[in-house]
Amino acid sequence: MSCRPYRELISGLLDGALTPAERERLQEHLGQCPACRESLEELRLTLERIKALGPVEPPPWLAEKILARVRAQPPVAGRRLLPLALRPVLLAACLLLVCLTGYRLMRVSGPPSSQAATAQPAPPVAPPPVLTAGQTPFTPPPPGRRRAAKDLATLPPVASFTPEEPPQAPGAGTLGVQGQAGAPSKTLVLGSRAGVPAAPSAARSQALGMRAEEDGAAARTARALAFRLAPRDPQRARAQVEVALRGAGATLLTAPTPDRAVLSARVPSAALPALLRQLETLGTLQGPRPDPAAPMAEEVVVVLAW
Amino acid sequence: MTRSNDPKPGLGEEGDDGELVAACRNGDPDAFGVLVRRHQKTMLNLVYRMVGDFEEACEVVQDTFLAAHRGLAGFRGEARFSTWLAAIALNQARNRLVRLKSRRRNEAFSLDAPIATAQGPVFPDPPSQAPGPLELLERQALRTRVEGCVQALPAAFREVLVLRDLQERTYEEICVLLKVREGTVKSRLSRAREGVRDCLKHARGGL
Repeated sequence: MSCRPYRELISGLLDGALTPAERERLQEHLGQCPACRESLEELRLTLERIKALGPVEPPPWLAEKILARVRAQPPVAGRRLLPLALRPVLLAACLLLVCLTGYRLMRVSGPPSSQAATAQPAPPVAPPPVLTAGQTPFTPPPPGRRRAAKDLATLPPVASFTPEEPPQAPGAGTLGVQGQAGAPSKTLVLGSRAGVPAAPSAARSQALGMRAEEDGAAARTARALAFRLAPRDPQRARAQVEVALRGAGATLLTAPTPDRAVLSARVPSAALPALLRQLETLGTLQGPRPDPAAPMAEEVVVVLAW
Repeated sequence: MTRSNDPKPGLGEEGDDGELVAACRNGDPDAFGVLVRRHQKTMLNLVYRMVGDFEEACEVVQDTFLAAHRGLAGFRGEARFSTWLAAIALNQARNRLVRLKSRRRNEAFSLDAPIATAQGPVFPDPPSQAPGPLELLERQALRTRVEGCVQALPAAFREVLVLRDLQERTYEEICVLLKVREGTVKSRLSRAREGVRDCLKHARGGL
């Protein structure tokens, strides 16, 4: 009879880890096998010897040394400084801050692109346009801003923008967006993207998808007027235009580029006639002349090329 | 909040351990000290029986608690804290054993160390400088022999023997610690005990 299957059972018996059936089977074998009975006694004695080793005591300095080494460790980023329970809250707060900042930046950003105007009737935000062919390449907005624009693009359309007819002079083509010079929609593009509402609350309502009231919608929606200036002194035109705009209390929306300049600004409607008169002193000004009797928003967007 | 520095066996200890771990994560500087004082003895005994050198074991225990402190964020409470800590200690002990093995290969022969033979380790006479009655000497000699025989086991068998017979952990906990099945634990334990028995029988002084 082979004793091999009983070796583990003998060890298990010493542990008291046998099932009743295993115990019974082993007892039956032990009754017939003197070698296994001897083995059981030897292992029982061995186990006694092992257990008699007993525990050792840690030296008194051990805990202090451990803690000193722990204190000497460089802190793990974000673990000690930021309790675990606060992490989701702070993360949410940061995301909210980023979103709000992005939204605020979009509201005060420059005029919109033609794609935005044609494909999406009135997203209130869009990346700044590349106004002329061969100028500074288009720079995509940061991810948060793009995402916000995408979200807002799904909102219902807001009050429509009614642009003035663009100037028919050949130079008006310089207002083309992304190299599409002469496209009739380019002024519409700039104006509709600017889409500056008369009051911030209106913009907020539009962004939230609220329908603008039908009556008086045109009066609350800013208009964009495109002009082309052939300056008498091209070298100083940029500075002169800026001075004129600032003098009219305008808020510059885009900065002019060094060579060929296109500049947009928000101008109080009341200051518009005086501004146009001053611009006419700088050179030949082509563009619409708004009717003072017509209802106007508090501000208009002036897009000026020279 | 009153905290005991002494190990508390039983379920209450684990409850306290969970609270202390949470306190550590929240930056409580004292909580980890309580955990260290509570578990250092268990960890030292586990590591000492694995490594066989007290000073080395103390260093391994330090490394164990340092690693545990660094890894507290990753402790998800799936196992008990003491089990998780023992697993770290075992890993550290295994690493230390590998280094010690290569170091000892180059060390000079020790008169007190067991001599490996084909029939198992043979122990020279115990050091004669220990004063005291003959019985105490013989008991010390027996202890030395048993320790030597435990150390002579292969690490995979020694760790099961230490965890079960010296630390009195359950089969289930040993399975979790070593990531092996219960049948493997029982088999290794049986062979480890037989190994110590055979070693003692062949050593001077016998079983």
